[in-house]
Amino acid sequence: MVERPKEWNETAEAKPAQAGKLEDVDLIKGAKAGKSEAFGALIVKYQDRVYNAVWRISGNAEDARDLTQEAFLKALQRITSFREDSGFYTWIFRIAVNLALTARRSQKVRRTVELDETLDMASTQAVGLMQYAGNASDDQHLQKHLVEAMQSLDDDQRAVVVLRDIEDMDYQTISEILEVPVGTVKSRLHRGRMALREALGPMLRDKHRQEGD
Amino acid sequence: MSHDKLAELINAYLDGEADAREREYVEREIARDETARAMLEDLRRVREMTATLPRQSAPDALAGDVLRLLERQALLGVVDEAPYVAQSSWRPIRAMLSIAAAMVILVTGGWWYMRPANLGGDHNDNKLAMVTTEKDASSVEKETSRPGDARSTRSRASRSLKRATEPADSAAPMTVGGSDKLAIERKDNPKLEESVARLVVKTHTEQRLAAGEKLDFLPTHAFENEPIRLRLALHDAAQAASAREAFKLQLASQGLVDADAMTVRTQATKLRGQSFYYQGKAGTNFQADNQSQMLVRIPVGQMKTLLNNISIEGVVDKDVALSAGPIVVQGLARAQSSVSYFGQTTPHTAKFDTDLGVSSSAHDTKKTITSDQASEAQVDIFAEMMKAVGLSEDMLSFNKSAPLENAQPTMPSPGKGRREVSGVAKNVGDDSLDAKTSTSGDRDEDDNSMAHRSTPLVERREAALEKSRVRRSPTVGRDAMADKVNPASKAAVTHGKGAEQQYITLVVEFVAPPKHSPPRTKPSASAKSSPAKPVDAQPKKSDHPQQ
Repeated sequence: MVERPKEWNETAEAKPAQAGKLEDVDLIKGAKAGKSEAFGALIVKYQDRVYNAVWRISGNAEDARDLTQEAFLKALQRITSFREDSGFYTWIFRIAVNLALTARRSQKVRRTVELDETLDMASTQAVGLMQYAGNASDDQHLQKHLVEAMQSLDDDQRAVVVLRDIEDMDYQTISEILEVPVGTVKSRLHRGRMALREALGPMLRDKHRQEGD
Repeated sequence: MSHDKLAELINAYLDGEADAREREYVEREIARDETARAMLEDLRRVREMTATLPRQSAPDALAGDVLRLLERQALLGVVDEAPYVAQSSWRPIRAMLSIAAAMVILVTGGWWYMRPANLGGDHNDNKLAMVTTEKDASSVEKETSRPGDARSTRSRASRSLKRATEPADSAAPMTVGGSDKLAIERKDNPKLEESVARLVVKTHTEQRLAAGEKLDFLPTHAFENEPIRLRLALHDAAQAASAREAFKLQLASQGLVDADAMTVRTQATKLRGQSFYYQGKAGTNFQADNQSQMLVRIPVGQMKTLLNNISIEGVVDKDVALSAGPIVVQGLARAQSSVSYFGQTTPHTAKFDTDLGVSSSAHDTKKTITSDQASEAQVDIFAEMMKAVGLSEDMLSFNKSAPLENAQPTMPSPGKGRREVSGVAKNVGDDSLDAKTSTSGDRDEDDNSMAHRSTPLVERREAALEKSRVRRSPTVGRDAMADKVNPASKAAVTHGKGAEQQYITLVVEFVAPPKHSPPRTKPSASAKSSPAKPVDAQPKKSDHPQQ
């Protein structure tokens, strides 16, 4: 096997640093003009966020990769119809989240193994959680349950929780992404968080007591 | 207010999304009611925990994969409207390929030659050279199991196709390529006839099936994203049709293709594709009417034979380019010269005008094949090819230059300028080469300048080859081709060693002649007598006999 440069798999057309410097409007303009480097820059700029959100919604890393890839593909295929009245960020998230939700709904069989997958998701994060300060084992345990609880949410609720609490989107943006009224966003978020609260219940309060000590 | 509604307001309050009236209400409630306070704190904690969940980064290759998928879709004609494709500098190739979706004739062996009409020397025009490679089953499965296609994990399907080697009404599955497996994605395209389902092979082939027909593929190759392509510049678009016919004959003369079977299969198939049977392996050209592209498969072990057979005296190397995605090896049109080029015994000087090129110096037999965005699979396959012709893997290095925009033979084109790559491979990933390349000052985005610069290159190469001790192969005709069949290779194919062999798959593309004149070239001094064609602004139809 030939040794390859580490950055081999980076798109050479737009390194992340360069992508960040370019405004979306310029990149979109370039993408519409058929410039691969422009679209490559857009992908690089948003791929992590999109992937992470899709991963959280779908609960499966392999699916997340496929879905993220498909989302960007669709976005490029439709780039000429992108009206830019909403940001590219919102647009790509709309595509990606819709794909993720559609995939979830079509995978009814997979629901029976969701728990295993969530456990896998939680376990794979275990190492990452170790880097966090505090009582690592308790936090790790709590996070694991949180991940499990999230995967047990209704798909629509989970999507809103992910977009709000992980991607830090406001209600209006979430409304645009999911193409539902803001009131629906509020309602789904409320129900989702309440479900998580209930699922974590005692652990949540134990942690509260620890922090109060 | 209900408890549930209060909770909803608390959530909005927590997120700063409550209006003034709602904020006032919530603050009043949490001040008054401990339960509300507890709810607020719980929800705050839930939000914080969720927000601090570890984040996953996208896979490293995702961006590149998306772009490559898009290109593949464009080649397959899946994307009807893709401004990226239409307006990219790949347009000359893609415009051709989009006329009929990119497909393939799976054949082993056989080199064809395409002789540009305006070249001098004795030439059998309209011959195309093809090489194919294919990896073994394990690597193919590994690659095809990756979500290189966005739908691969969810909609992968395999079907059985009527065996190409049997009468058309046979229901036996057709196998291609030994025991490899190919992931097939079935896609129903509403634009197609209702009775026709279009299968999009995960790699790069497309097969249309009639209703009820099944397709059972074994993998043709293991390209992750992009097949290796042999691009031959046509100086006359009409050469494509005759080249295809000549190709069939060449394959037959190589003993690698059952020409009669090819014909029969072609006529008998109900599909749009052509089926071929060759020495124990069947292949299918899924878009037989695509005159611009053909796929050829050949075991790696036969590479050298094929490269030898591609040689035509006087052929300008620049009109032949071998590329795998962004990897381009320009100029393969010489039997002995390819040996001498890739070989390590006959030094010569050559430079290639290409974004990604192969170069050598008179005193250094190391060659550089540079690439920028090639996938690892492409590079591996290239490495196999290079080894097959005597080039060791450690001679490969990678140029971190700007991406290839137009991997086609260096004919003058309205595309972007090319970067001339020259230098000597040192260590793999040697940045010094990168620096040398980038500061060579040879970058030129002017077509005329590029064309002009190409002339001395050709002349130098011709002169160097003249001095080489390796004799050029004569013009290869049909009989001559047959004489050049490597018995060992033929035996390997005949005895069905395909399952153990690695194959190289090339998509041979007929690159449309540019609108303006091709580079000025001179026939080699030792070219056999044949009227030299003057180079003029307009490419002329070849008037040479075609095979």
